This record gives sequence, structure tokens and C-alpha cells, in this order.
Amino acid sequence: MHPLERGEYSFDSNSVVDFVKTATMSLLDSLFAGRALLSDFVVQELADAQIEWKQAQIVPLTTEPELQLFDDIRRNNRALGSGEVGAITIAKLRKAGLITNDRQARKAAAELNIPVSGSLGILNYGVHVHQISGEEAVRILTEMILAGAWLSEELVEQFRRDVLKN
Amino acid sequence: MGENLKQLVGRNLRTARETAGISQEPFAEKLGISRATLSAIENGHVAIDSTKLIQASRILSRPITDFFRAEAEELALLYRSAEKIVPEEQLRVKFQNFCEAYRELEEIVGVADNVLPPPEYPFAHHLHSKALNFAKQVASSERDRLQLGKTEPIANIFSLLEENGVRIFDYEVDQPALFGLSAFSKQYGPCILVNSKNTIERQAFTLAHEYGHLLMHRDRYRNLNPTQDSEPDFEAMADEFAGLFLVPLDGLRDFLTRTVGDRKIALEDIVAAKHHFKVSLKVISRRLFDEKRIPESEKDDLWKKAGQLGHAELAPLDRHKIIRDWRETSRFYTLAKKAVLGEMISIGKLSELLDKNVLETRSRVQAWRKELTFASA
Repeated sequence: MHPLERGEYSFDSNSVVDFVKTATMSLLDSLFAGRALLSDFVVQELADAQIEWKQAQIVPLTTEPELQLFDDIRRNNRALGSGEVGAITIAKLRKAGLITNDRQARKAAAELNIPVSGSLGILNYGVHVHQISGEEAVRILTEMILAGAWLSEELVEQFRRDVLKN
Repeated sequence: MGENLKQLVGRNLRTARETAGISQEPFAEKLGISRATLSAIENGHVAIDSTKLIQASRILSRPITDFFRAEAEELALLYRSAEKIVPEEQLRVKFQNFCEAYRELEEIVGVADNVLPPPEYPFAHHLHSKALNFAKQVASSERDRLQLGKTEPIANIFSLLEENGVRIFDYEVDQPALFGLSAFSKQYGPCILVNSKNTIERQAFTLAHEYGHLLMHRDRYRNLNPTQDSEPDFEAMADEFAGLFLVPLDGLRDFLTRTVGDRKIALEDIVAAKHHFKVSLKVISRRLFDEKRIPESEKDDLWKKAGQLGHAELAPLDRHKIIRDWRETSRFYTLAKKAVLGEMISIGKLSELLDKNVLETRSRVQAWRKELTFASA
């Protein structure tokens, strides 16, 4: 079973933008139907860029302990913006995974024992469940990179090998 | 017992609302809650939810982080304007946000306090009887200190001041008669906001003027309400400093010797001098008048012409080149670039620091990466 196959996932803005810029939001919708979470801090960041992800569930922080967790994560991770902090907070509160490509956000999530994946992981998952072919995944990835996604060359190469081997 | 989070957020929310001059009733209405609920939030009895907090940050133009802050240093400002107008509160907040973002970037990259602020030349009425002479001396001393030479024009005042520890923020202010703001604090150092809606010539003069304040009147950055100095001496001093800093006496004489000689100065000479020193028609004609190279009537005529142009400028300088040259070497952007390309900060953090949305930030980062790719190829 693919690790992304079960459970809820909290997305940061940048990972959503990868799919918006490659016109593949329908892939996210089908892969994460009923399991995609967005912190309202992420919703706001996306709205500022005129992006809306209707299928995702918006999760606000409503209690003082929730806000306290947000503030604690923020204070311990000055390298992150409010959106990424919100996404991590929601992942922690909902015992969900985090979807981000950002190194600092991944590091912060790892310290909180939150499972992390990113755009590459999602494409890999799409291939695994036969939503897209390996060739399609590579094409989408190439478009993502052209649209500003920043992924390590090593990981990208590994991904190509993995999805094209079958 | 210490303040808990809901008390802290509530207090910061109330302070921000009051500073913005919004009373509880309309603010509560904008947030879609009752006045009683807002009061309970502000008094720390009820926790605000994140959706309302985000709305509040938008209404008050404050970053979310402001509401979680245990203590804040408010900036004391001086400003330069054509008329007696007061900078809007939102502008003051934007300026403070920029100063904080700059400081935070320095800390993240690990270069905080590596650039010393410019020295102080404190002016005191009881010690210096002739204020304008004092400003003149400071302009000359500062040019010497910065090794600008006795005659050379300043190639790019944005870059020059930033290289010397001044944090510069160019921002489109909707009040065109408000030329700029400056601030000085121990935490943020010297900061200048320049209204990018003004002509580039006016921006250059504003930078020099505010720089004069930062050098000569640093002790006046105390009042938290923006101050347009009521003492005309101080504004005249900053103007005198700016004029001589941008157009040094020896430089003007040298330029005129080389290009005009003893003949009567014509309009094309004035325009050539304006371009040489990168100042406005008003500034150069004022300096030529001070040097007795043009009569008062001619200066007044030029000022009148300049006035008729409103917010435009005769024979304008290449605004885009000046700003582009500055941005290419701007310390703020250099730090931002270093932080994001070195993965010291996230794209979301960079968006906040640059006050841009996530798409704009991604495009900018992509351009920076391309630069690197070309450089390493």
C-alpha cells in the first residue's frame, strides 16, 4: 500500500500551487477526496494569489490551546511563514500528514513526528494507483519545475527512474 | 501570574485597533461578531479563532505575528511632505513591518549588526548658532567620510545609503504630497521610506533630506506620533544638507567651469547639470542661484515651470535604470535571495518578508535560481 493512500493530509500553499500551475488540481481532488485539509492561513495565502481549492476542507484554529500550538510552532521555526506554520499545526492537531516541498517545513514537521510528503510523493502515488501513467507523471513534474517548483535534482532523477521502470 | 495567550492576543488586538483609530462597534461589525464578543476577546476572556484573527490582520494591515508579540518596539518617525498632512496609520504600520522584516532577514542570515549605522552629528541650538552652516559642514564631512570626493555626483543615492547601513523602503504612498518618512531605533537602526509615486528626482532629494535628519537630529526620533518638525530650522537644515550632499559646491563649480565657462547659463546647461548631479530642476536651479550663477528671477521662473508640471519633472532622469541598478545590489534583496536559495527560509516566509503573494514570490525565486544557473554554467 502506498503511504499516501490512507489518512488526512494538510497542504501548504506552495504544494497546492504546483498543481494549480500545471492544471492538475483534478488529480489532487481525486487522490485526496475527503482527506485534504487546509489551514485558513493557507487558504488566505492562496486567496491572495487568486487561488481557491474548493474540495479541500478548511480547518480553522478555534481554541486557545490550538492557537497556542500555532504560536509555539511559529516561535520555534522563524524560517516559516504563517501558512506553513498553520499547515503543520493542522497536521499535528488532526494527526494528519503534511504535504510540503519546503526543507524547513519538513524539518519542523519531523520534529513533531508528523509524516511528510510533497509534490513528488503525490505524483508517485498517482502512478501507484493508476490515476496517471509514469510518462504523464514525468511530464507533470517537468511542467512543475518549469513553473517554479524547487525539487532536488537527485530526488527528481530517482523519481524518473522509479515511475518509468514499469 | 503571567499573561496567557488569549490575554496577550486580546491586548495586542485592542492596541492595534486603537492605534488604527477604529472604535469597537465598526470593527466588530467588520469581523462579523458582536461588540460584546469583541470586548470579551480584547479583555482576554475569550480566545479569538484563526479566521477572525486573519480578518483582523487584513483590516488593520498588521502581520499575524504582531498579535502574538509579547512586547513591541514602536517606531518614532519624522517625515517630509509638501503640505501639512499626516501619514496614514496604515503607512506607519507598513513601514514598521518593513523595518522588522529587514531586521529578521539579517538575523536569519546571521549578519545582524554587521553594518554599523552612520555616525551622528548632533545639532544643539545652544552650541551651534548657525543651523544652516552646521548642515553645510555635515554635508561636507559626510561626503568626505563616504569618500565621495569634493566634486563627484552621487551615482545612485539608494545604493549609497543602503551600503552605509540605512534600510530603504520604496513604497507607493497614495498621498503624493507625502515624500518620505524616516525612523531610527536601537533595534532597527536608521530606516527611510521613500514615496515611489514621486519623481525619481524627488525621491533622491527625499532620501538625502531624511538622511540629514538621521545624521543631525537623531535625538528627535522619540515621539511615536509621526512628527513633521515644527521647528522650521530643522527642515531647512535637512534641505540644506540634502542640496549640498547631492550637489557639492566644488562639484558645481567644476562642472560649470568645464561646460559653461564665463558665458551666461542657458536652459540646456541647467538641464545638463541636473542630469550630471541626478537632481530635480528645482534643486539645481536653487544651487545655481545660491552660487549666484542665475538671478533670482530666473530661479523663480524655473520653479514656476517646475510647479506647473505638478508631480512630473522636466527632462526626467531614467527612473527605471536608477531603481534597477539599486535593486540588483540592494542589501535587502541580497539577503532575501541568500536566505531562500540557501533554504534558510520557506517560500511562505519570503512572501511575508517581501509583502508579495505566493505566486509573485515563486516567480521572483525562479528568476533568482536562473541567475544562479547561468552563473554556475
